Amino acid sequence: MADPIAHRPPQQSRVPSRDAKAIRILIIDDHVLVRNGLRILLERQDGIMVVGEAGNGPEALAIALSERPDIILLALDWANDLELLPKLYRITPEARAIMLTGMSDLNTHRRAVRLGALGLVCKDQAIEVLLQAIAKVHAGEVWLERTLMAEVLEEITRGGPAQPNDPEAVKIGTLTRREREVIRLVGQCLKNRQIAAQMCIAEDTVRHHLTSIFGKLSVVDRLELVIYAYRHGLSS
Amino acid sequence: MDAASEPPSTPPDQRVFRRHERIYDPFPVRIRSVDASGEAFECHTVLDNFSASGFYARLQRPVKCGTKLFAIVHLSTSRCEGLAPRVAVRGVVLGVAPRSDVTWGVAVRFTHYRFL
Repeated sequence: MADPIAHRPPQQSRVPSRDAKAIRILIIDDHVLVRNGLRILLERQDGIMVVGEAGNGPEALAIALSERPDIILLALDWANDLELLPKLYRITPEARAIMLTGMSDLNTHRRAVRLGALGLVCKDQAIEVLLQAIAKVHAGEVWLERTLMAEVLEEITRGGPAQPNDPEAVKIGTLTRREREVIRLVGQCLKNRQIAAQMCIAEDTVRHHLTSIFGKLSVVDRLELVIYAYRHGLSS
Repeated sequence: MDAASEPPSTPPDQRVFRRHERIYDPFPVRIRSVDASGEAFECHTVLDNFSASGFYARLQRPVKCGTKLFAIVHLSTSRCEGLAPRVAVRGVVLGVAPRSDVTWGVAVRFTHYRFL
């Protein structure tokens, strides 16, 4: 079924375009009804302009690129939805993200904050709470529960998060510096011969490194390694 | 993700069960194949998702299941595509479904790949 008002251009928004200082918002949610409802509620407010709606990652990235929203409202229904957040920040570093969540899993909330969410609003809260959160986050503050805020501050003061719950971080942590270098070059789609030349080592050594990397990261071939490296920021 | 109304290119409840890690970035891709009417075509589009075993893309024309396909995927969403790592893949169309945006969602399984 078509979503007739998804990614409506700003000039068609009900917020007057003369309001140049309106907070530009991108809504990301799987559900059309939720997106439409949020749009209606938000556009009733002065100073808020919904610049687009997206139902999936590619749509969200495309709209973020073209509309440059100030605030991204990202519904968090599945822990994997969080993976979109760093990609959105890469495209619009000036945007600030607020997660809308129906999940009570604290680990997911922590992960959202680590990935850059500056606000977290539960879906069972009133629209006024969301509006407050939008205003605060847009003003450069954060909107988090006190306990979560305390944890984030504690992590910062202790010099970084311990990540015992992230199995990928544990795997990546076992890589040696040379293995990371090999992964970076594999991520550039270089052949073993080229990698060997760049690292001044033998091709056999590159193969040994790759065998070790495949085992540590539980990947089975080169393409899977390239994808793993891309997803986890090891190729740059 | 709009599972109720669209063919599920990225069913959220299944992502965690996938065997291969999957990237949901819109990687540019050039696809060469034969459409349902038997006409050869080549097109540029972006992927919905990409993994080590296959990809999902939207095409402007239908293709038949089982059709062989060749594609070159740019592994970057940067506009400087010339600098992006590229992988050439050969594959087989596993599934085709019309979408509400008048395109055809095509799921492809790789049979071969080669880095360029």
